[in-house]
Amino acid sequence: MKLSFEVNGRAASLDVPPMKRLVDVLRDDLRLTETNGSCTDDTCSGACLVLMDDDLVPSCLVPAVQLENASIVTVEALAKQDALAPLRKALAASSCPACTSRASGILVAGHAFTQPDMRVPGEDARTALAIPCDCAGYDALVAAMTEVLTPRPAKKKAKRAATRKTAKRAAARAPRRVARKASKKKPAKKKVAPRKTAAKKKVARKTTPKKKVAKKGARR
Amino acid sequence: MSGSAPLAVVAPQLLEDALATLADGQRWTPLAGGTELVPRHHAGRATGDRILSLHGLRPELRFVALFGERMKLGALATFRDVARATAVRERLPMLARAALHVGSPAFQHRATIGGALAIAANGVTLPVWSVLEATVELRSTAGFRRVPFARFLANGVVDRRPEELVTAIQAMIPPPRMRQYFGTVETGTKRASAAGLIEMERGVIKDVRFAVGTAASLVRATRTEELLRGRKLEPALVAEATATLTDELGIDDGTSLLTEFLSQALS
Repeated sequence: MKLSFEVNGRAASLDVPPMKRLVDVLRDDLRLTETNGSCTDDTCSGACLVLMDDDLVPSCLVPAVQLENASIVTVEALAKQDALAPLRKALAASSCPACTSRASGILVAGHAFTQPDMRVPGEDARTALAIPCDCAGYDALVAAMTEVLTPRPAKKKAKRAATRKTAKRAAARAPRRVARKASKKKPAKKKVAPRKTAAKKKVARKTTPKKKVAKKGARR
Repeated sequence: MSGSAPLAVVAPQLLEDALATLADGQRWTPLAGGTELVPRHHAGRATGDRILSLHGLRPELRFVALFGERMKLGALATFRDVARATAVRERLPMLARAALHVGSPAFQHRATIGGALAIAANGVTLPVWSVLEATVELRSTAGFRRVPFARFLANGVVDRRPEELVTAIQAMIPPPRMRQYFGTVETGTKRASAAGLIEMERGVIKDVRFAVGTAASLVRATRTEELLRGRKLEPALVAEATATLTDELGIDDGTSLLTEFLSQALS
């Protein structure tokens, strides 16, 4: 079956069996092997999560036939996001095979749960992690997911600092702009007024003195 | 993997095309969210050799709508759609809560209301449909049928003809004086989900509805309802009702089910 869809912002056209699972299409046909395919026939491991048309879905449950015109985002496009750093750190520190094997799914879920409308009121980090684990590092994962889902004061500070920097830069540039405006008066006026009005004004300026000259000439 | 088996898969974009396919005399297996069919196919278990993907019908069948005092859900609305819909959360909190108990959030994005009904899967929400006395809508090229839920799923058998498609389900919205309940309870070795409605008037149970579902069965506890209706809620009645419920459900002990229902609904 010939299919056209989008993966991580790039167009993909493939000829694959219609019931081939998305996880297998990603790994076998598109070489996007970070999406883990450890799901069994009866159980989804939670490692194969991707975004399909902005919905968080297990790619082991999506048949290729439903990919036509779909937009897929995999962990490859999300993993390096700064916002997911706490999760990456917690996963790197974890020695639990079950948790680390579904790292890709945890990162995608972490990203998805920060998107508007994804979370239902009352859902928290444990819901985003989906599958509880008895390992010693699970609490650290929950804490990392909570950090990802909660806007941190540090982030706010960084935002404020960034805003201040931008303001300072703008202030520093301001005199230069004034200088430019002073040297090139006409373009500065064009920026302020809509095109039509500016054009009309120009016409008015050009025509009025001519008429006056003509009148003056006529009087003479 | 059974990908090498001869298989016909079609993916219509319009409901009328899907119904025409179902009416061609061949046996087609509808594929909605794929939560049951895809793993079964991947494992090489029988899924039929003709699969009708309904994914393209989402513009027509993926909706949550309020009609007066009834809620209508399109067959391709996912459990996540239901859990997120403000109308459902405000008017049918028991259904929103049940939808959140259907697997993980990612699973909820795939599993559809219609798919779960058509194969009587995801027993979690079935007790909710039962107490809300929902109506299932089925369409075929021959026309349209509205089937009461109790008849649609009687004794574990789904009343859907091969040429029909489940297109929607409608449920009544209980008046505010009726308290809604949904919960999951361990009953011995089984995990059961229970849904209930109860209306009290001066300490007397004016109306009550209660249903319990497991992965294998769905029971509307009509005998327990009859026993409770019109009587004053007191410990002796609860003990009597628990015995009736235990017998009605065929479980070891129905105490936790009934006490959870009464305490949560009346809190």
